[in-house]
Amino acid sequence: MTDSIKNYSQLIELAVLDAHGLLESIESDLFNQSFHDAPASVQDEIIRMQYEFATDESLLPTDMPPTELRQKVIDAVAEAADKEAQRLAPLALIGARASAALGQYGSSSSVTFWRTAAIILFGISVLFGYLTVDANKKTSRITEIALSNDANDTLKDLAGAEFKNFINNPFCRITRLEREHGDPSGYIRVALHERTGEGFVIGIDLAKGEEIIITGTTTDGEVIELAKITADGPVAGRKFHIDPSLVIGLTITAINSKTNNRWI
Amino acid sequence: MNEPDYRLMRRVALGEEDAVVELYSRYSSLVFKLSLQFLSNNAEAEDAVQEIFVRLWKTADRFDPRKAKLVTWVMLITRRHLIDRIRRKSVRPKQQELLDQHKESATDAQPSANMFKHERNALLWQALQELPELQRTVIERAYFQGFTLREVSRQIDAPLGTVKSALSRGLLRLRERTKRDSSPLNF
Repeated sequence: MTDSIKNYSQLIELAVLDAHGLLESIESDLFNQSFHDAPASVQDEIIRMQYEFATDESLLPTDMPPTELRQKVIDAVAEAADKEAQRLAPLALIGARASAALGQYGSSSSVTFWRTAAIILFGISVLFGYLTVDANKKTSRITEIALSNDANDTLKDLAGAEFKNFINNPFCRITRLEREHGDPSGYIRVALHERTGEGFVIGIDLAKGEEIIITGTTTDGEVIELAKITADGPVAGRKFHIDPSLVIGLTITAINSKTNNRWI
Repeated sequence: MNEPDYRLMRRVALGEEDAVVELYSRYSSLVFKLSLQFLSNNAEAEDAVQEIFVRLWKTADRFDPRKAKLVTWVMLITRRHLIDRIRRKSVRPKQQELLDQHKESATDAQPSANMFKHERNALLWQALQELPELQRTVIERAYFQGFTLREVSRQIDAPLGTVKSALSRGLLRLRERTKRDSSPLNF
């Protein structure tokens, strides 16, 4: 048996287990990587096979869900969304209080800023999903960032209606990067428009002076530099642009330019 | 025409109620039936369905239409949730019971989990009996009893690779069997 056939067999084996939710998270990551590296014909075969597994009802019970379950599900999702919003609500309150308390920022533009900051951070939190682990600690850290005057100019530069429209676009793909090893603090999120190649990277709570290079590996294995950010404050970020033809299949990672520590 | 999957999941991620309703209308039947297969009664299945749709909302932004159809993603999240739920219940058979069961299964094919006692799972039970013993055992333990593949490997004293292969082959054979049964030539 050749290596390619062996690899193909293993990939199909993993695909079957993946479709049934039986892979551990690390195995699931390995499968995803192998899937990504597989020829398009094999990818299509896996997609089709997993679809057949998903839709095969022949061995399932024939019972149908009761009609009242629909409303229960809607309520359950709404309740979960409310809880998430409540957890983030202090941001909005702090924003309003801060603008009222800080006389020098008592103008309407200051109120707008804090409200905008709260909305932006809320948006980043929800859309980038970086509050999923250790939420309380991270929420308080974000609160600190929202109160920081240093964040003011950065946020003005980074955000605004353009940013909101950008991340709300259905073609915008978000990549979450975490430090590969060591200190779990700090977040990097990369938003990339699949059609236009426009991108946006934001780093929050990075170490002072930390310089991060965002890279993309194309399906051909070529590594390209997408952007570089330096943490001069609690929020750092910039826009970038790449050839749209490179976006599909692009694997995004980052590296600290001084320590070579990776973000994956 | 149906809204494209990626757009629907984008709206689900944003918590738009009509998007959640659409997702429910498309997939609630499948999710409920699978939940019923895993769990012991309707009440548990209904609870699970609610939790699964909350989980779908939380993970909606991770759906990648280039890697899977939406129904595949929905059923993957459903299966993972049901397996997690079985693990949380901590009512899995003890090691000695499993050893006894393993011995019995060679000569007396008895259902090994409560789920197989339900009439509604009779077809599944019957299909499993047609599998070779190793494949049947690993499917029952890993898929329906929530043991990790490493746990199953230790329980039956077989290498992890063997367990994975047997599980994968068994699940493929079940699928082939259902294809055969639904063939128009099979009248």
